[in-house]
Amino acid sequence: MAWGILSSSTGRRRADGGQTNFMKRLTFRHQFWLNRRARQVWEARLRRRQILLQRRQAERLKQQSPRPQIITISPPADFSFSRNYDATVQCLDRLRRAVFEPAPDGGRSRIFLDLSTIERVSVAGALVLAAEIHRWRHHHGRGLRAANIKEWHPAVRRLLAGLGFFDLLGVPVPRRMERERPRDEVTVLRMISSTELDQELLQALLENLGRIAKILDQDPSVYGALVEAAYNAKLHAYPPDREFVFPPVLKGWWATASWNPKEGVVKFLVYDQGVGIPDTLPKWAAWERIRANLAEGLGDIGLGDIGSTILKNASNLIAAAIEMDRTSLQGGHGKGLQDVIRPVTSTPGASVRILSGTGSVLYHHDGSLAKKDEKLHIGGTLIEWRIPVGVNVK
Amino acid sequence: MQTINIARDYTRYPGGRYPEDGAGNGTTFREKFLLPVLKQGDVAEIVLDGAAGYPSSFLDEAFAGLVRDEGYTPEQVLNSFRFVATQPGFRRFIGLVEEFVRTAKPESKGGA
Repeated sequence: MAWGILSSSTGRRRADGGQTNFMKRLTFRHQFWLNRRARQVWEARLRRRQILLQRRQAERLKQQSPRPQIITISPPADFSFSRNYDATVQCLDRLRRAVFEPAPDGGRSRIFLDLSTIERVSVAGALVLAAEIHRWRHHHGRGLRAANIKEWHPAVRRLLAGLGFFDLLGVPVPRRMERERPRDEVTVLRMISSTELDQELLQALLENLGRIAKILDQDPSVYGALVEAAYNAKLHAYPPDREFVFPPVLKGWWATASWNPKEGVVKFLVYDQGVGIPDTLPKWAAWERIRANLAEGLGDIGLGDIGSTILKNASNLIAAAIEMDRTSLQGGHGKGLQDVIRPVTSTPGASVRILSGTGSVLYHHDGSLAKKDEKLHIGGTLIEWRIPVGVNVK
Repeated sequence: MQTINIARDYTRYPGGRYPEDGAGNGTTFREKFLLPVLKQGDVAEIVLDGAAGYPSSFLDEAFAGLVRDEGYTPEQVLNSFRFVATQPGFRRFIGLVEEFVRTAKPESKGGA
């Protein structure tokens, strides 16, 4: 059946001069086409109506439910553990809380980490921040996006780009940034991370650095130091019987290296999000010897209130672990920490800084130590070697 | 005297103690290369050159493990192996092996 399409100009003239109009007979093909077309129009109208209804419904729901709270985190202008420890750690702590703690109203919240506030960032600060972003992604999947990269300080942007920060965010690195790099600026190698003891990955990092600074020819103990630091993260940093306030990337470690041509210094860094060396020592077979050594150093003070405070100081515990007899038959920290300090003892002018828990120990080439205790937990263990290049190894 | 070149015959990237620590672990090296030498009462030359370096976990597990886990005496171990290290900075690894072996104490019976 045709659906009411008339042809009006094809009448025939009758003998009496009158004209007879009649409908044109539609072919079966035309009828079929018209049927199909009408159905398509009707279905499209129906779909549009359904879409409009869904949109109205979604808008109503949106108006009824509270808008997600936006938590803005503004890092300090100087993002560095050595220059600005408290503000840097506070910022990282705020980020962790925002990511893992539910919003006060129990709803969902969005986090805006505004990196445009950073004017200066250390390699160590950048590595720990990148590890935090990695943890974020590990536990919450995608959902991170870069909002205001153009507003970041150019030097901060370049350093973070070198570290592989943009890959974490899933954003391509703007090409012009590479051309912008001043010749005397610190070169940072792409961050590596794993939850396994991946010796080849660590060696690749060293070889990449070796292309710009001849460190590998200088001292083979650097490799051992990096491997032992990563091995320590795997073996001791994440005790299975511990409940973490913020879920870590279990057995995870992050490492990078940098070359500062102005100072002629290379830095290697390894970070883990574990409980920290001081917290793991009581499980070590040599713990009682460490306690005894520390108590012996107290002399007449003994193990009173002051004495027990000294024993609890994280920096004292880290230093005691380093100084422990390295012939521990159980392996573990004793030998690993000796490897950690070996590149320093063999290279004049070198040093290694261990930030772990709330303690900080800076170990110099001549064996001297500088200890410091902080109020805030760094959120793991960060080991940073500083090695002058081109210096003769002992 | 047979020669065991660690970088050529085992790995360029030693590290870790146990098989679950990856391909360069000390236990596998000990069982595959060092134990047969001791069992045959042979002497082997160990070439340290060519590797990226030697973490203590590897050296301790491979060599001191012969005393600790296999029941050999430190003298038996040290007399069975001659070490070659000509690359800069590699000689110190020989000293570490000797130190680890001398201070190791047996934990289980077995071996010689």
